[in-house]
Amino acid sequence: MNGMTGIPIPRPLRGAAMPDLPPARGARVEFDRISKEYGDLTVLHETTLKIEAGEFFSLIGPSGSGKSTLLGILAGFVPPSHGAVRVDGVDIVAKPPYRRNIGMVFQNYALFPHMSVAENIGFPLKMRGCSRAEIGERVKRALAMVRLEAMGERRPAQLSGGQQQRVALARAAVYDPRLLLMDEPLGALDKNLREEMQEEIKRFQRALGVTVIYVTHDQQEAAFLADRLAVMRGGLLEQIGTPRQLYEMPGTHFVASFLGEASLLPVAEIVSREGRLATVRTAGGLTVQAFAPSRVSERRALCLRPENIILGEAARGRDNHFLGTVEEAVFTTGTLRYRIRLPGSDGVITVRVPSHPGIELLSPGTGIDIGWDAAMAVIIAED
Amino acid sequence: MVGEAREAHASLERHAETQTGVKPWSPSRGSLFLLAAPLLLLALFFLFPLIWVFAQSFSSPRGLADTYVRIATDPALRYPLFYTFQTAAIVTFCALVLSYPVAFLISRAQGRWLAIGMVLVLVPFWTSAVIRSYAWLVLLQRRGVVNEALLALGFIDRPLRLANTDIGTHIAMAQIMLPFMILPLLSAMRGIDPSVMRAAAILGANPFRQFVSVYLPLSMPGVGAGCVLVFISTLGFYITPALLGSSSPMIAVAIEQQVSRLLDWPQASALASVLLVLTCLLFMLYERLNRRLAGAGEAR
Repeated sequence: MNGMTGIPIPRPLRGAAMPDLPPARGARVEFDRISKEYGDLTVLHETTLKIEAGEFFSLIGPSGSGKSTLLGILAGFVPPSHGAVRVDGVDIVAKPPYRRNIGMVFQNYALFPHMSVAENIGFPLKMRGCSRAEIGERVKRALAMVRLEAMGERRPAQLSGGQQQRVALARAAVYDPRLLLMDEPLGALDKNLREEMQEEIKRFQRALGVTVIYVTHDQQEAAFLADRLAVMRGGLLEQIGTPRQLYEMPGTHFVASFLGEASLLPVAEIVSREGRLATVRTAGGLTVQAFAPSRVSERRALCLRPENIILGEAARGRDNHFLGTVEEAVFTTGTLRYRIRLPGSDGVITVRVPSHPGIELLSPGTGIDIGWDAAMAVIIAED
Repeated sequence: MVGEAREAHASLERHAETQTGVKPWSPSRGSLFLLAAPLLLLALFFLFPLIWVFAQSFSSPRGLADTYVRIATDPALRYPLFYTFQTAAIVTFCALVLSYPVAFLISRAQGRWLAIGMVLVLVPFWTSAVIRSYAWLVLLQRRGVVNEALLALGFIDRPLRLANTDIGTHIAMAQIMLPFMILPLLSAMRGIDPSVMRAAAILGANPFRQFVSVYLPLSMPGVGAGCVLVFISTLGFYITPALLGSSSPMIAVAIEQQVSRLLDWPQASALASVLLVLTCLLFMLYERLNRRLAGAGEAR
């Protein structure tokens, strides 16, 4: 068979010469007043959500918040109790999963243990009636895309977790679905590998241009990957926005503490308000200059991010300046983490300062200047 | 160097022993001693009788290997052997076909339904085969429940002959063997990750192809284990064919006849030895096949 050439001669890449598949463009997804009940138990309250074509959208929330139910409804595993799900304007609720042409990566990868890696990736093509030659060609391309060219003949059990994950990704994308669902795809990997795979998934999504809906409980992962996030809680959408919007201007206490670290000071009253700037009195008796988003609810709190608070002399010129007492001081990688008691009865807030050899770790009991600008204390809804 | 260190370590240990009077725990010494009793029991009441049976098969007054020559040449002895393997194959097939859907349903059940399903499988399992064989005799006889029901429903004009036929015996044996098939199937099916089935669905496999391409292959270890268990158990069936009767005696019935009617102990021993050897060969074949299938997943 191979009598003529000893060395394989690289062939020019196809693409421009041969009309390849059209570049995949993402699908537009619309949940229209979708809800799910099991008997008396409502796991998903009426939810309306639009996801744009080509968007990387992440659903985050604690377990039982309804994020997996929402994904299951979209995949077709969970029939919704009410409402419609439209993909590019077409309601798909009545379609079984195998007619939806959606790609999906599962938490434990869900690779077929009795098939080789190549057979796993070829499975969706086989189900679509592709010819053997076409399957071989596309599997090869998919393997190259996830850099597993040499692993085609192996069984999933012979691969590492990261490699299995890449196989699952290749299998979900090989048939060019316009919508890709990912259900905690990195949940089983260790931290370093997770970060590596996050980059890979992001590159992958940009290259394919597909719409990705990504479920995770890891807020850092979601913030890194997603164009927009939806925070879910108790079967309800709590807030939707870009990662930056959600982090810097969380609407509620729950969102504030779910994304990153936050200290919350209950607000007793708003003394005065001028546009986005407000003067408020906290429940503990402090008067604070704060940032007021357009809508402010009745019960509210100040949200302070630990990295926005300034300690020492630099704190004196800030919009808000107090004298606090160090209660607790810990070194964590990269930062010194303090718990500082405020004057009055507001209690303790968390402060993070970048760590370096020129800085001394304050000992508990030390008095310290503490300050922040008005924009760094956001008024949010307390719940 | 290493040897020295080891020696020093060993002497230290000995030293510790003599000092404290307590031996450091070692897995080999204690467990060997514990094994002595069961090993003795097995040797005395299992291995020795087995060797005795085998030796006896050569003690025919007609000649050393005469018993085996007769098994090979005498149709009255050879046919039960063939019939037994044929029956085992039929019973295994019937048990598999009946058990697979039952095991599938139970594997999907949760909570109370799972408990009910398990009870339905296990109660017959715990009931003596003698009782169940008699029950089948009652059901299948000329004026039994089955015939009466079929007559009453107008499916037949005359009672069917079920007892004392191959069909009746196969039905009873297959029923008695069901738990041996259902339990291994159930264990394999419950081990199938539901998300793998969901993956097959979302990747475009319709329910039929989900079953054929994914579910069936993943349940094969249970199918193999169940078939071997039922096949080998059926080879040794005695009470059911003895009670219900069939066109030819099963091998166990033939052995009993040799002993109790013809008082030909060497011939009975030879038949038993042939059955044992064939069963062992079959099991080895299955093990090898199994290992090869499992080995496909290992490094090449």
